[in-house]
Amino acid sequence: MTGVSFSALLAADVRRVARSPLLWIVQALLLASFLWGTYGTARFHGEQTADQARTVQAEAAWLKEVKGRIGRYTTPAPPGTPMPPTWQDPTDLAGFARFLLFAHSMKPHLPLSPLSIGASELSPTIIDIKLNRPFVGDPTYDLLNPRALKTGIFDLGFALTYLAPLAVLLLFGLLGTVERDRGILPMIAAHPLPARRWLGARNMALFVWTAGPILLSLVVTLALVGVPILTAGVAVAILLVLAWLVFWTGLAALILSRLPTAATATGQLVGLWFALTIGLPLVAGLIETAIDPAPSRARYVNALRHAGESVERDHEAIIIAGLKAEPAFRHVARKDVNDLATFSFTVPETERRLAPTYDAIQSHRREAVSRANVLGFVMPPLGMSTALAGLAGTDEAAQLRFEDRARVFQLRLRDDLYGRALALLLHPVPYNPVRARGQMNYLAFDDLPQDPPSAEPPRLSYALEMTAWLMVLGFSLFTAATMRGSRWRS
Amino acid sequence: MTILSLVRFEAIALSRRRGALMPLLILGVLVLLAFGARAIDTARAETERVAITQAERTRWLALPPQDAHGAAHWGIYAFKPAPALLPLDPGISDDVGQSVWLEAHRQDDMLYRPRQEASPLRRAAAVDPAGLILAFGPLALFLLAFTTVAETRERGILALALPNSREPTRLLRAKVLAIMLAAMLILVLPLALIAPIVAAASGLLTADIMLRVVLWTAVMSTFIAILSLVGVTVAAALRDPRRALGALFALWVVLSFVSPRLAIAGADRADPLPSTAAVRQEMLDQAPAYWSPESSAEHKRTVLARYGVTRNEDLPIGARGAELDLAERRSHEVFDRILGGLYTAIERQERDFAAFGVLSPAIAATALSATVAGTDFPQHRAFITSAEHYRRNLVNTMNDAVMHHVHNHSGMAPPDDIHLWSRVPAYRYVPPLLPLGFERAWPALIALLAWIIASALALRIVARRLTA
Repeated sequence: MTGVSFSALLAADVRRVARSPLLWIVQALLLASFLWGTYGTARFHGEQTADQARTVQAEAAWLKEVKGRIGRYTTPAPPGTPMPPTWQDPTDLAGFARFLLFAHSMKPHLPLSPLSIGASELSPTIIDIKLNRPFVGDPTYDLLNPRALKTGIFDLGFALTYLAPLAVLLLFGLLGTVERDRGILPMIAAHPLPARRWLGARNMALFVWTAGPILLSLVVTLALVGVPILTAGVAVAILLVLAWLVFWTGLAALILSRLPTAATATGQLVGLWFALTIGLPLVAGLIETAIDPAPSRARYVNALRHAGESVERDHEAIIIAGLKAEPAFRHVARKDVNDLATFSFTVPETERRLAPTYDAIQSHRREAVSRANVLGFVMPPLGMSTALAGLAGTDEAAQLRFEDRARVFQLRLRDDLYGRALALLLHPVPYNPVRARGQMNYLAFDDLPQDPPSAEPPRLSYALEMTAWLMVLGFSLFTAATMRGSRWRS
Repeated sequence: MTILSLVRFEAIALSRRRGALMPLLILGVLVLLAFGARAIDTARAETERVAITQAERTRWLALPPQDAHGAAHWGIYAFKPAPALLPLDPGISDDVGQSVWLEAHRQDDMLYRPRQEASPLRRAAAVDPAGLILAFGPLALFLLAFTTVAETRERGILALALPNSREPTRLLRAKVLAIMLAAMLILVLPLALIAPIVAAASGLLTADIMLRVVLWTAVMSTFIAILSLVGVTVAAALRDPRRALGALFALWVVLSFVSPRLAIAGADRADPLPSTAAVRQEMLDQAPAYWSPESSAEHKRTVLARYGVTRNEDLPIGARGAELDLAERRSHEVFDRILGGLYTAIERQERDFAAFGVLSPAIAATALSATVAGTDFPQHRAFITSAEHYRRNLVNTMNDAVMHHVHNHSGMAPPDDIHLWSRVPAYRYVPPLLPLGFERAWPALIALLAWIIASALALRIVARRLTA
């Protein structure tokens, strides 16, 4: 049995599928959703970028104001003038570090960030650095309508991960079952034509008309929001989406290989979509909670308060032990230890006491990210959304790296300011109101450590691994479909 | 045949279509699973919340004698109790903070949002019973409607019914009722029965909660009725089953996935929220925790003028306490204006979102479900307001102590005032009763009613024009 060649069948099917209004309606709706999602994400990230610019301006204005205030404290105080409060005197190192310091770490967005909103709707891109706060502080966030978070901001990542497969399933479910539903399948089967060849050509034509316009829409959409197209990130994104479509079309081809009716095919395909998108993550999430529940933040609050209380109770002992630990400070009297030097002993001690709870939370977060990366290979929608967010620089791993950078910045600030406070113990600058109204033990505002905003690089490796995996899965499914569709079924 | 006999007939036929019923049954299992998971999580979190709230109170009462203002800086952490019907519909609960530090000078943000704290896997699997019904119920119902109408056509039952002008309408109505009953029995009724039991087990079952469960059942039943009507109407209107299937599939995507996101984006575009950095900077500028020499001088002038004296020494109260009190009370006005404005803007967006219920019954039912479950934004704001009142009372009490211990200008709690800390009562939050939130949800109620009337009319029209 030879009959019509594969290429002739493919050419005929390509023409036939292209004539379907359904194809163009679905592709137009997908393009609209891509545009909407991409513009929405670009706008959202644009607002976060504007917030960062506002913060940079506020920092500059703060530094200018601090320097502007110095004059008031560098001149002699008239007799009888009380010592200025520590929180007003920028020349007082302790007051400056504790009350006036205004520093932030920022996470700029990558040019490819419109690809996926990722964790950027949940996690802050600006972290307020406080010297004496344990670790980098509280998990702050942008003030958004919680309803928007609950519903999910419509982004390109959502459209690609969830809507594009639905479009594939609808097109395969309806356009791949026409002959069966219209009762002309027996007529085709009567021809000297292997079912495998006929099905292969049909699936290939559907794949071409499904994947081609989707990839084109992706490139056009990204270009329209100003993403530079000729970059490695975009190339990997295109490959990833292609692999994603190969996977779903492979799945659809497998279902169509039994030559079902449209209702059966659509029902089964939607069932698979539902299982992969909702069912598996739900069950896996329940198992994760049962086996490895996240350390509770309420307990962290309790530990934080307990640590604060116990450090307050042991305050004097901690300071004396701190002085004794450093030979240079052994002769420093307790009464000469300034406010900031006190913090240089008590804050690390608070962090040490809090570390078991804090480290448990942080290591659980890191393990959860690694676990999700692995599970992404079992639950492709999870893997796809993680890979897209990784390319966009908005994934949880990038957020953790940003928080690590903020912590390093906090420690650099501590090294600088605590170091100066401890140096003052050995070389104090006595208060002399006749010389100047302020304490005059700190004027190095321009030497403060900086943390220039730097974007986290896109995570290409995970996206490439996911691309390869989806390709393998997709081609395996196509192979299985070809083997399964070896005979005509009525 | 009477309509009841027809419904009975359709219900029996439905029970035999196992393939078509399967999506509904699977969804029912997932809904129960999600409810169970939420109930367990909530119970665990509540046990912890109660214990840590008690520990916070004990710590507060055990504060050593110290500057009362220092005690106000130490403050108290308040934890939001989980609404009794959270396992049914968490509403916005996953996306708002669960605790807040009540300290001097600042109205802090509520922290520790469950979704932010969740692992990437848990975020992907963050489903809840109401959310599952609202997102995937339409698909299960549409598949059921499609199958039952297509089968009626294929078996020629429709052709038999058509000559009698009343029969097609009754036939379609019976199908709608049968589908509705099946969905209610599988998706809604088990939850309506279990939710009060779970609430009772937590000691939270009240008349208000029972009324909420009844209303939630009514909202979800109406939603299911609308979808059954829409599903049967579309399946009957389009003679080509492939077109009917495609149309129902597209309707599901649009009604359940696209419209809610479009609605919230529309509400945000119509009335955008101020930027986070702008809000925080404005509060920092207008209500600084540590004031400048200029503000300090202005505070002193105001305090002296208030008491009609010209020197601090002549004040009948402690000058430091008076200044603290003045600045604190001024900051209240700033917080009410800036944060209150932000919360009011969110509530306006909520009202607009509810009004978008005309686009999709899923939007209207989402808004109403959270309102009746006590998990919408107005009810979250009630907690914020209550906690903030408590904070203000705590800080004012401490400032008052600083002001009135004139003999001890440090504000240190003197040895004979061992009851100063206990003068601040323990924080208790009583969730508001039902009417709260409805003033913003009524557009959703109107939209839901409009949907059911419109879909019933559409079914009637389609039934009259029905051809085999």
